[in-house]
Amino acid sequence: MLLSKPAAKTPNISLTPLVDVVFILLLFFMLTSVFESSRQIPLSSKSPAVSSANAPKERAQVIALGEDSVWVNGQALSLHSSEFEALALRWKQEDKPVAVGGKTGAKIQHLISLIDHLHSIGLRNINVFESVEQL
Amino acid sequence: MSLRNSKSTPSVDFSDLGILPLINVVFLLLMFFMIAGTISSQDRSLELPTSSSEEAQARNGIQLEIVESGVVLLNGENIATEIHTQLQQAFRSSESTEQQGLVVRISKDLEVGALDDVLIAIRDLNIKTVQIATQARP
Repeated sequence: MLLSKPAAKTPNISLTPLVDVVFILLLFFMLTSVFESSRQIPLSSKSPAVSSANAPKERAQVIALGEDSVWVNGQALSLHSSEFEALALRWKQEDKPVAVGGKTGAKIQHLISLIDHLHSIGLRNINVFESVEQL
Repeated sequence: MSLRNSKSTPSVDFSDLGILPLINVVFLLLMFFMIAGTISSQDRSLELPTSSSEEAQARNGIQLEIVESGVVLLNGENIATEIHTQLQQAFRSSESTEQQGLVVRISKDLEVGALDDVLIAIRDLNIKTVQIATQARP
């Protein structure tokens, strides 16, 4: 009498196709993934984010002219000049809202660089107005 | 005559090669890329301006795009001729977006005038929370 059955043969499963698929998936995710997350610059939350170019007296107005030049108080200044820094610091101390815009022809990057610079100085109450043709 | 020499091409036994650690590492890499990465949309028509801002871009809220050609897109649809009405509808459709606000994604090489229509619509609709999407400086 046969008491025990012969051990069943386990099928020989090949790992090669699995490894192939995993490598292909790995390649796909490596090539299509991006890790840099986009940033954002918030505009004023105290006052409307967008204002009119006709600025009231209690608001500072800066117009981006180009890569490093701005129009403020009736004169062109370098964005990183000590004169502009002093003005911006005074606005910060006075908690003055700042309206920024760009002269026709200036690029969006110039406008963003200006807002970014004002942010780095500590100004937060910034709103934007439409482009201006004449200064 | 035997054409195959069994000694020159021996059958490979994976269990002897110690291939399991390799597969483990590959799986871990796969999981890392799947979880940590986001699949890029390859949108070459929209290169965001650079800034030093550390604030991560909000995933929620209404996203408005102005691409290189000046075309205005709201949720992927061209709304160039009716920015005001489409934005108004988008803000009406969900109360939560009111708090999350509007994220403007605009190409850095466009002139500032390309933003004018959108700015006028934002002012008319009295949208208070507005963010401009940027990318980190290289």
